[in-house]
Parts: sequence; structure tokens; C-alpha cells
Amino acid sequence: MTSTRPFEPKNGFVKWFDRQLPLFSVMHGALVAYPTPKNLNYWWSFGSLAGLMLGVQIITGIILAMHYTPHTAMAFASVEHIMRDVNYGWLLRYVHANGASFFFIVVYIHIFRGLYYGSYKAPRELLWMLGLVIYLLMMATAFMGYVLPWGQMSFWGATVITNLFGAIPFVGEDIRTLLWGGFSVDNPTLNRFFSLHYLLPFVIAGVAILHIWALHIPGSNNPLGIDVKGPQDQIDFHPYHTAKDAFMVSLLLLIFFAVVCFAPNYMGHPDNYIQADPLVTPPHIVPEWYYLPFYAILRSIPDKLMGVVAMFAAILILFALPWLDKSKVRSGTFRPIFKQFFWVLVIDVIALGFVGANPPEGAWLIIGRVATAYYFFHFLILLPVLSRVEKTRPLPESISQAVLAKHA
Amino acid sequence: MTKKNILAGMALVVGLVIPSLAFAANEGEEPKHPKQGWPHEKIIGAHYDRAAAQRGFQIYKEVCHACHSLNLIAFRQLEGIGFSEPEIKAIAASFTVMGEPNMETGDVEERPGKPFDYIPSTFANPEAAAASNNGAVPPDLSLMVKAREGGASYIYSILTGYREPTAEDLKHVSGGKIPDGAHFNPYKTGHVIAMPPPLAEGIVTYTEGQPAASVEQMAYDVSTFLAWAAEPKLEQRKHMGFLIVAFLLITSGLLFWSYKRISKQVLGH
Ligand code: HEC
Ligand code: HEM
Repeated sequence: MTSTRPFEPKNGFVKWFDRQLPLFSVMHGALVAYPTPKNLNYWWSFGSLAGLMLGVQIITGIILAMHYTPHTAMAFASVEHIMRDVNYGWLLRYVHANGASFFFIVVYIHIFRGLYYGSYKAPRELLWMLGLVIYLLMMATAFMGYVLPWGQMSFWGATVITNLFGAIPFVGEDIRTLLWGGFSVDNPTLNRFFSLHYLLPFVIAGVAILHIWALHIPGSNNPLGIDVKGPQDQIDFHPYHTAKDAFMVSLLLLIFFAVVCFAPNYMGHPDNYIQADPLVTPPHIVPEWYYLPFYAILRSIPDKLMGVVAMFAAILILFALPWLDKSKVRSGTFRPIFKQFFWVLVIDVIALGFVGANPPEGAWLIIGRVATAYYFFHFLILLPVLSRVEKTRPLPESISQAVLAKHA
Repeated sequence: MTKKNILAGMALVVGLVIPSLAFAANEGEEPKHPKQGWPHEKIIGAHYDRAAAQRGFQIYKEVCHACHSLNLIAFRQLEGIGFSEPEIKAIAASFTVMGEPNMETGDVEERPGKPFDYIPSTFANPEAAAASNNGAVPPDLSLMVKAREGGASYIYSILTGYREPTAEDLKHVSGGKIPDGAHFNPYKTGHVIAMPPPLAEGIVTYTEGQPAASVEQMAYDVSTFLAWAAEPKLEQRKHMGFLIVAFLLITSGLLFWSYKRISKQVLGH
């Protein structure tokens, strides 16, 4: 997308710098003059919010790492040292631990926004897939981060999840040994997880830059899902979106700090305040809430290997989504049946989350199996069929026309 | 919002509520905690009951310390529940700790505790602790309040919950009877606990002017102390939270207003 507002710096240094390395023009193009559709709603702010949370995690993480000790004998105590002796260490640690949860909340909203408005469709398939890569990296990062405080859930969560890799035929055992750095979750595991936990957020930042680059080629999708026809459909990022996003950032921080200051352990598990003990297995091993839907899929398949396959397939299937959903109409607003099933999918995923939090027996097992089956049905059968047979509602002529009609 | 969106929203709520009800029903195994609503659990004006926490430290020192360590607490930190410097010195000196190696001989000798020392544990290692307690290791109490669902209320329930099991109670105990040396306690998972009832009327004497040392009073006091030990920065955190939330409420209001103004200027609505 070409900028509507050329970059014309007044400052001599900026001019000199930009001639040799156009960093300032790139930033100007991305944050000031980036032309966006006029009709974006609040759901379009969640990309900026995700960027904010990544920044929060990196900054608090680096400071935590200055006080943290990655050794099985000292890790638990070093986290408590941060909580008790380091100035505002409790704040850093609670912001980082809850920051991971809020990062996922924001990203889940961001992903479901994309699902509803068809943002994964051409010409944005690559953009969508880069987003999924970020999501996978986040899962890996948060998983390894949760191991660092070396509580009971850290240890047993790591044991359960790394053991899954052992189910892979032929190479599984080797992969597991490589993850462990030995023959069980132990000090070498903690060391490599710390190293990777430090590394991956910067990889995420790199992929996020590609993600934004890929966004700026076609430009943002919008709630109507129709293409921009000309400048009358658009508005510059600044000041409109900077003001809007600033408000959304403030609102997010409001909720975030209310949780950090008043219920910092609400999303955690009490068992993680017990130091890891390889000899005592907790009665219920549950992963962090953001993995629960996938954990539920894993456990609803009776066979371990097939369970692992289903769990990974549940995420990988999203990479194929642009080709599974063939409908030419992007936005769910104009797809009456798709829209209903979108909400069914939302409920299905939430139900899977509850299933994942409970032992796989009785009603939970049955709900889990039905919900797992629906999940795959939705993407593999429903969407391909629906996109062929659904009678979509007429699309508006243009964005500006729809905006005018709405505010007439 | 169209009518369909509203219907979908309702379905979403139902989808959320029904599983959580089932979740609650699933957990109804242990009885509800009798003691609720601690001053430190309030949102505004949260504080530890200092007098109770100080009495609680006395209970810990005179009763629980015989079996349980409190590894994360140094004497100097007792300042946090209102002990004065001379009081802390006296408390520290009443414990014996391992000193530093002697400069000439290298021998390590015991000495009276100093404020910078951590509270020493009674047992040298978990094996020794288990040997004195029928094979069960009394867990460290520093983080106990955060390590159990229910927090301080859970500790209170455990300490006051001992009673003779009825025939109905025993149905919920695995094996149908309480093993030798163990005790019935409905609040503990499995309803069997290795700890003998630690509190009894008259086990400690509170100083003049303090409430009578009933089992309930002692349980309240030591639970308050352990809540502080688990989360000594709670008061600071909640007071700061109040300011942050107030600040962000105002900021959000201003930013919304400025967004709407800009929107009027550049979009016309
Ligand atoms: C005679 C030794 C002894 C004394 C004294 C004692 N405890 Fe214990 N305590 C134990 C043992 C042993 C366990 C382990 C119980 C088990 O795992 O079944 C335990 C466990 C506990 C638990 C954990 C229960 C759970 O949920 O696992 C708490 C809380 C506790 N004690 C608090 C106290 C407090 C507070 C005091 C002082 C008022 C105290 N104890 C005094 C031996 C003792
Ligand atoms: C994608 C961004 C990140 C995510 C999602 C994330 C997630 C997590 C999680 C879930 C924990 C466990 C928190 C707890 O329960 O205590 C954790 C701990 C930790 N993280 Fe991160 N993290 C991120 C970035 C970083 C970075 C860049 C660093 C820098 C080195 C870092 C350093 C640490 C350290 C030292 C701990 C252990 C201390 C503790 O447990 O509080 N993190 N992280």
C-alpha cells in the first residue's frame, strides 16, 4: 500500500540518516501514514495490544533473569527471593506471570477476530500463517517459562508434555532425551528451557515484524470484508488509530493491573507454590489455562500417539484454513450460516477448555469427545461444504458508502 | 448487534455457566470453610491483623516449630508484622543457629540467632523429620497459605477441623478406617492427616490484655501469621493497585474522550 502522506522530514539529522538508511520513513509509513480502512472496529486494536504484551514480557523477563537462578536446587528459592527481597520484585514477577495469560487472552481474541471476518483469506494467507507461527512460538515460550519457577506443576507439567514426544514412532525417544538433556526432567532440562525461554521471545519479535510487513502489503481487512476502492475508503493510522489504540491500551492495562494487584494467583495453580518433588505426583496435573482446549483434545483420543497427532493437527489445520474455506465473501457479517457456526466453534473451544481442566472420566470424557469431533468437523467438513452452498447476503458497494449509510 | 448475535451471546454464556456448575458440583467433597473474610483478603484497606499475626508467631514458635520449618523467613522480616527492633533481637536470640566457621580452627559452633539469620528448622533433614513423625514429613509452612486452595481459611479449617469420624465419614476414607498414628480431618484431601491435632486449650499463654487462647483464637492467629509469611508484600501490592486502577480509570476516560474528538475531526463521526 502506498502511503498517502509522503515522508518529508525537516530535521537535518533525520534527513541525513534516512537517505542512508530509511528507518524513519519505514516507521513513518507504518505508524503515521499507514492507510487503513475507515470502518475498523475495536477488535482491530488487539494486534497493537498483542505487541504491547510482547514488549511487557520481554522487559519484565530480562529484569527477572537478572535475579533468577536456573538450577533445580535454587530456582524455586530464587523466585521467592524475587518476591520478597528484590525491590518491586513481586510486581515484576506477577506482571510477567499474568502477562503471559493476558498475552494469550489478547492473541485469542485477535485470532477469533480473524476467523469471524475472514482475515485469513486471499490476499492475506501468508499474514495469517505468520500469525500462527507466532502463536506456536508463544505456546513453546510460555510452556518453558512455566517450568522455570520449578514448582510441582512446573515439574509435572514438563514431565507430561515432554513425554508426549516419546510417543512419536522411531525418533520419539531421541527427541525426548534431547528435550530432557538426560533421562528425566532434571537440571539439564531446566537449563536448556531457561536458555530457550530467553531466546524465543526475540524470535517472536522477528516473526512479528514479518507479520506486520505482510500486513502492510495488502493492508488491513475490515468488518465488511470488502476491498478498499480508493482513498475515500481510508484513513491514516495517525492520529485516528494512535488515539483509538491508546485508549484500548489504557483499558487493557486497567484490567491487567486490577488482576496483577488484586488476584495475581487467580490464573495460577496453588501446587506451583510447592517446590518440585520428583517423588510426589500431584493428584491432578493440569497445564496452564491457555493450553486446556488442546490438552482436552489430546486426552479424548484413547490412543496416546493418535492423541498427540490430533492435538498438533488441531493447530496445524488452521494453516490450511485459507484453502478449506473457499467462500469469496470474507466477513461473517454477510454469511448468515457461517456466522451461527462461528459461535458454535467459540462455545466448542470454551467447552474443550473446561474439559481440559477436569479429569478425563464420566461426562467430561463424553463432552470432550463430542467437542473434539466437532472441532475437526467444523474445519474439515463444515467450512468446505458451507463455502460452496451458502447463500451470502449482498455486499455493500464500498466501505465509504456503508459508513455514510450507517451514520446518515 | 443483531438479534442473532444476541442469541449467540446467550448461548455463549450458557456454554460457560453449565460447565462451571458441573465443575463446582464435582468439588463438593470437602466441607465449606467455616472461617471466611480475612482483613487481608479485602480489596480496599487490605491489611494483616498485626496483633493476631504477632500472637500467631508465638503459636508458630511454641507449637508448630517443633515439627514445621519456615525457611523463607528471616528474623529481621518480622518487622513486617510490627515487631520492634529490640523485640526482633530478643526473638532471634531465643533461637539457636549454626554459626560461621571459626577463623582459627574451622569448627562450626552453635550461637544465639541474630536478626539477619533465617528461622532455623528443628530437623536437620527431611529424613529426620519423617523419623520423628510416623514417616510423614511436616511440610515447610512459608508458602502453605498460597499452596492450598482456600488460603488462610484452609489452614484455619485444618487446625479446627479435627473430630471423631462418624460411620458416614469413614465411608469417604480410603480403606474405610483411619490408619494407626493418623487422624481424621474432613478438610484434608482424602480426609486422613498425619499431623496430630496441634492446638488445644491452654497450650500457650497469651500475654496480659490479649484475647483468651481458645483453639479458634489460636487457629485464627497462626493462620494470619502464615498468610503474612506467604505474601509479605500483599499490603503494598493492594494499596498500589488501588492507585494504579484509579489512575488508569481517569486516563482511560480522558483517552476515550480524545479518541472521540479526533474521530469527529478526521472521520466526521
Ligand atoms: C507433631 C508434629 C506437628 C506439629 C506440632 C504440627 N504439625 Fe502440622 N503437620 C505435621 C505433619 C506430620 C504433617 C503432614 C500431614 C500429612 O501429610 O498428612 C503436617 C501438615 C500440616 C499442614 C498441611 C496440611 C495439608 O494440607 O497437607 C499444615 C497447614 C500444618 N501442618 C499446619 C500446622 C500448624 C499451623 C501447626 C502449629 C499450630 C502445626 N502444623 C503443628 C506435623 C505437625
Ligand atoms: C513471549 C514472551 C514471554 C512469555 C509468554 C513468557 C512466559 C513466562 C511464564 C508463563 C513464566 C512462569 C511464570 C510463573 O508462574 O512464575 C515465565 C517465567 C520466567 N520468564 Fe518469561 N515469558 C516471556 C518472555 C521472557 C523473556 C524475554 C525473558 C528474559 C530472559 C523471560 C524470563 C523469565 C524468567 C527469568 C522467568 C522465571 C521467573 C518466574 O517464574 O517468575 N521471559 N515466563
